Amino acid sequence: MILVQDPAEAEYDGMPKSAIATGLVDIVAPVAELAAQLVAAKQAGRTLELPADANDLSATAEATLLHLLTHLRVRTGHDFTGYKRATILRRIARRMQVTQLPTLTAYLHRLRQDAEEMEALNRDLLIHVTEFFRDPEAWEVLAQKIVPQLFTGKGRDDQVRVWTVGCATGEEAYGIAMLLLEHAGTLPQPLQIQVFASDLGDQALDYARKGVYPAAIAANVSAERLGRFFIQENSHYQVRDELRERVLFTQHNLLQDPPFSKLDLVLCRNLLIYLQRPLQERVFETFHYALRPEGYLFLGGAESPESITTLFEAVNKQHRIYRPSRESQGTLVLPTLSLSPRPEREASAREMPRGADPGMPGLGEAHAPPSLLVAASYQVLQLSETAGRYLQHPAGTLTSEVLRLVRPELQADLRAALFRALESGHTTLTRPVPVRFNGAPHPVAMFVRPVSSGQALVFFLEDATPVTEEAATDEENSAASAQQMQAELGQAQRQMQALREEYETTVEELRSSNEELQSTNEEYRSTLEELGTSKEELQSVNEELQTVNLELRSKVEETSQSNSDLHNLFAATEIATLFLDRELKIKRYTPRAVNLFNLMPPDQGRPIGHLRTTLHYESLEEDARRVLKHLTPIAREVEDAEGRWYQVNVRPYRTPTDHIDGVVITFVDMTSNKRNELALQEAKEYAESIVHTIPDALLVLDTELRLRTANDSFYSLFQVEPAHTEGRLIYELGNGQWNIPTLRVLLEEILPDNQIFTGYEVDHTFEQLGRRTMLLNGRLDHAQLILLAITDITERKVAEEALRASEEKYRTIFETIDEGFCIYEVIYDGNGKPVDLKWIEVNPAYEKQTGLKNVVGKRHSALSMATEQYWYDIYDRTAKTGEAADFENWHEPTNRWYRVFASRIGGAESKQVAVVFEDITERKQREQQQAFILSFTDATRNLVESKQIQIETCKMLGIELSADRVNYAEIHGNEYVVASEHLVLGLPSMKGRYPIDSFRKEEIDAFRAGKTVIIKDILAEPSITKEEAAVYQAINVCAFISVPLVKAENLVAVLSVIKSEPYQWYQNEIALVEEMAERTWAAVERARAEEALRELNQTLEEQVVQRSQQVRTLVTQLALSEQKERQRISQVLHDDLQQRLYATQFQLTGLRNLLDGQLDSTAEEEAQHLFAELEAQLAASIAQMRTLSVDLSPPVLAGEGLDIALGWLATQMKQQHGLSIQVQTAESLPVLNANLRVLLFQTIRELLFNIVKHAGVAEAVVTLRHTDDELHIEVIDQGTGFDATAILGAPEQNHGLQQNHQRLELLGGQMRIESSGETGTRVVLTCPLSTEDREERT
Amino acid sequence: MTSLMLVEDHAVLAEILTRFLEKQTEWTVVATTDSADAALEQLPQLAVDLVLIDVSLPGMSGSELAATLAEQFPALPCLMVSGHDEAHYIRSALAAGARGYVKKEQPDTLLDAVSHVLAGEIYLSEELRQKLSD
Repeated sequence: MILVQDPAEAEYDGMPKSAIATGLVDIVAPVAELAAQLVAAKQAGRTLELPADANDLSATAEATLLHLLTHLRVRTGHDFTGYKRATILRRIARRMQVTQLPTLTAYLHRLRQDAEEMEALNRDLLIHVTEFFRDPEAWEVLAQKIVPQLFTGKGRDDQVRVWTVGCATGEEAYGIAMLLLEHAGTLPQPLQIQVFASDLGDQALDYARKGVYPAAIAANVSAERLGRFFIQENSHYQVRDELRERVLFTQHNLLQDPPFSKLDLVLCRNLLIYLQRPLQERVFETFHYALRPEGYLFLGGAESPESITTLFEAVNKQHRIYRPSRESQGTLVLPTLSLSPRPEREASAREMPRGADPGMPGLGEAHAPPSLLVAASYQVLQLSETAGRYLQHPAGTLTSEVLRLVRPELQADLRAALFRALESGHTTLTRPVPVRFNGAPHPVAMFVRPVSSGQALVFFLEDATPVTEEAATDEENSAASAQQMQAELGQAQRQMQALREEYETTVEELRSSNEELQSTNEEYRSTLEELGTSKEELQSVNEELQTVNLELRSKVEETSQSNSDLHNLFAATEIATLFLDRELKIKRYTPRAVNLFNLMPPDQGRPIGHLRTTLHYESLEEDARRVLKHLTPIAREVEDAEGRWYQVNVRPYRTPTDHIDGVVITFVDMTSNKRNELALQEAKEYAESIVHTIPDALLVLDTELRLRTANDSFYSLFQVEPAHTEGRLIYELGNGQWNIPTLRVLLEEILPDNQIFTGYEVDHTFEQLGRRTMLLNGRLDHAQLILLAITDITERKVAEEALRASEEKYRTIFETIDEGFCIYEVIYDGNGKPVDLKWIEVNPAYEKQTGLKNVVGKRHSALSMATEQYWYDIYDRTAKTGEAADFENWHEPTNRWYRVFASRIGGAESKQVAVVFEDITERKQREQQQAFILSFTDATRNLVESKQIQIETCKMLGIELSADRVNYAEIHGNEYVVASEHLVLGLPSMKGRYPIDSFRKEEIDAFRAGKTVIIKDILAEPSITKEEAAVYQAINVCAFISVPLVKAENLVAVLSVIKSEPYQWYQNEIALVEEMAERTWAAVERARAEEALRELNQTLEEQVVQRSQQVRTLVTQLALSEQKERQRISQVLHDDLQQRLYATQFQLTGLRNLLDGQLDSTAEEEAQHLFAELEAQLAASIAQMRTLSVDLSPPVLAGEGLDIALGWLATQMKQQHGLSIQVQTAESLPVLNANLRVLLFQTIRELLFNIVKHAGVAEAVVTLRHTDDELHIEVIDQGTGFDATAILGAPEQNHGLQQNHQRLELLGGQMRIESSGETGTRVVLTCPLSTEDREERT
Repeated sequence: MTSLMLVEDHAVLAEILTRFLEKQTEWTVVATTDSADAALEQLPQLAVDLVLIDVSLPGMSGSELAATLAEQFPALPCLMVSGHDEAHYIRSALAAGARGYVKKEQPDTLLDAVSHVLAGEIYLSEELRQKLSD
């Protein structure tokens, strides 16, 4: 029993697959299940209900076994009934163990359902264990003794024919073929050798045909033979074609199929042991028939052919070698063929019941008595289940004739009844006849009835109760017995009649039969003749066949040659090739394909989709299907895991008949091609990208100077389109703009000779682009193509020109500017510290400024110039950071100021610095002087005394000029008066009065002439005598500047700045002292003038105050006088005139009353009229009088406060003019004196009258506020269109108000119009409040 | 017979007013003085039914006189006769105890006023009432 791991599970499935391929494997299962399967099988073996010995088989088991074998025969066509029971039982037992079925019945059941199991059993029963040269001694004898015999007496065209029966996996067949070939090799002329190898099993034959054997055969096959007859492939041995071609494998059933004939040797090893003796005998008959008389039979060592002796005699009994016996030579014993029907025939026999009558007994018995269906020939066709009870097989040959089968008691009746039924179509019910079953007779009647197609049905009707002997012989029944006898007689007569008719019919039939036989005989005779002819035909056909055979043989040789060539081709080509069938299973492959797909021999037959490949070719299967479907080849390039490239071609596989039988896939290794191609592609793209990126125009021209291609730069530079240019002459491009004489010369003359030209500059004016300067480079390459490169250098030219001009310009500036300019290089020491400067370039101005000549290329250190470190640091900083330095610097040796501007030249790594020196001395000195003067002005601005100013001058100048002594002297008459001086500590004061004559004459003259005296060193001054110098020295005077001030031709003052040491005065210092002298003088004079003015002012102010007081007093008196006068007049008006008018009124009333009723109507009317007029006049007079009186002196003013007076005024204004006045008064309004009070009252009243007259409003506001020393009154209205300024300002219009205004001003008050116009008028009155203005309220 | 006293500083007016009163009515002006002091001096000696007082008097004013009279002669009614018609004059006169106030330029009104005051009423012309209420 063999168990194998499931290959689907295995990592390397080669081993289990090859094991499965042997066909010997029982169980294929995953490893995990194998052990369990093994145990189960073992246990199944233990419980197997099958006897080890075939003789112990029970009857039922025997029957089951027969069923089983019949089933096998029906299904597979293999009849194992004749095989040895023990062997068969052993094989079945093994299968039962494998399938784990304990009983034979169960196994049979399984077989019926499971076609695979049946196949497996079939295979097991057929299997022959075999090996190369099994039983080597026998083979040795065969090789030495027998094989040579086979060749004796053979002609050139004869064959040595050998038949290996039961060849199984072909080892025996190849073995004998080897022996034959070996011997043939020793013969002078070769003979044809044909080995027929037959077996029942397909699988074994397939295996044998492949001729591939495991390496283990080396144990049985000598190395010499292995080398000669096998090719070693991996772990396998492949039978060489030489050997393979000698053996013809065929499926053949020894017991059924016709044998091969004219054989020289038959090998039948270990087959007979399976066969029972009768079969063995038949086999021997067959062999006897097949072998030539001088042929040999080679049996296996285990055979014990007792039955062989009649037909064969032993040549070597030990090794079971026989030959046909001499005695049997004459008798041709034909083998009995078709011992058992072929499955096809069986099948047709089984169809018979379908044609049977519907009333077939098998069906009917459940509802009817036992029955038989009888044919017209009296043969029993069918019988019902228990109909056998009425049948009894007679001795002799087995028959189906009903009259012989039926029990004797029933025969006579049945014959008659059948005759009636079959011949005349009558139905008959026979008389019951006692039939003895198991001793007791039962009456049985038969009912026979014809059915369609000349058949008859026989029913057996049996009385259940047996007929008793006693009852039959009962006397009481004698009458019945007589009656019965009579009936029997009638019956007998009818039978007689029937027999007679039958007989006659038979005679008739015999007669016609005789005739038929005679005609048949005739036919046989003619047939015999025909057969004779046929035989001749057959012989000729045979000849033809042989010829054809020869042709086929040569074809086969050719094929084999082709095959060999093909094989070599496969091996030789490096092309991996796969042949797939229509299901895409691998049919064939070349060695190269092995690596690509990890192929192994067992992979043949596997679908391509199951293979793993190193290729990145996922669509392989899909492509194959597509090719199968569309028949269009597919080509692809694929890469494998190692980066190798393959050209894959998938093509349909066409058979010679142009039938598509699969797919051929080739894999051509094109790695190097592919890599080259990729490299080329890359190089090309690289080159193209360069060509298209460079700014120069590139053109490729052919020899005719036609443009092949040009790059993008060309098209964009010269504004042409590829469509308009390619293929055209270069001279034609862009309207012939390239038709340039120079280019023509270059292309047509220079290039062909020199192959190259470079750097030709061409100037050309283009239509669209204008004038262009181009640099032309040309080259004639090996393909006779002209490569023309055009560089547009127009801009470059222009730029160069511009640069030149620019440089010229800047050079001129450089040479001519006033500013000094130099370029330094900063020199560093080893630590990166700036330690020196080197001149790179200087301009003339620089040389002039510094006085240095030819310094370019030199260093500061080389000129021994003392340079402070900070210069290095400044330039270093600029050089390193790139930040420009801008500062002002004083150059001491020349006393000049420079603005220094340094900036880096070049990039970050540059150590060069450009420095510009601008001479700003003038400006600087001016600034300093101005700053000094400014500070002097600031310091003296608030000084009022002239002497203070002089001291300040001395002090400031002393500090500024670092002088030891500064003094300011005034000249008074003949005296030189030093009142102000500045001294450094320790020097004696020069303050005092000196006769002017005591000065040097030169100095005095210079002073009077207004000339500044400048002495650097009294000792070095030639005009100063030693004696004079000594005088100066005595007072520590060594160097000085004395500036005289001459005003109105008189020397008024001298400012002197003095140093105790010799000193070279600078011009700016002199200028400063001169300026200061003037300024000091001016300041002193100003101070003196101011002093005088101040005094004058003070006097004037005092006078003004005095006068003002007088005026005020006068005004007050005037006002009071006026007021008194007003009061007096008012008094008169009120106290007298008004009272008189009242009196008049009374008198008038009295008069009217007096005249009432005294006059006539006319007079009365006139009088009334007159009275009315008089009273009206009188009333108007009184009113006018009252108003006048009040206006002149409002009664309320006397002794009342201003606020109360204003209240009264408000009432008055409301009553008399309809003007509402709102009076807003502070609570603690001071009490004013009568004068001011009246003035303010009258002024306010005037303002209010103005509002009434001009403002056109009904409201006004009067507010009174005050501070400690001022009263503040506002009169406000909201009126419009009222030019208050004009009205208030015009004296002729507003006399009263003007007067009031003036009076108010005299009292120190003011009236002003603060606003006027659209938003109304605001008039503000202010007047000072002095204590005398206030008085207690009376 | 009804006796009136007239306090009026203007002699002409006093004369004409006396004549007017006596001519027009049955009343007799028993005394005429030119000042309050004179009036106060004479009154105790006279039997007077009513005093007519000018508001503007030298020295003690009319209103002050009225107040004094109201104090010293509570039963003696006085009537103010004045050229002024300002409200504060009227108000202070009434406050001082005067029984009426008449404008000098309206002689007819004076007669009415005297009648009413003598009848024990307080008299103000319609015009003056209006002024007071303004």
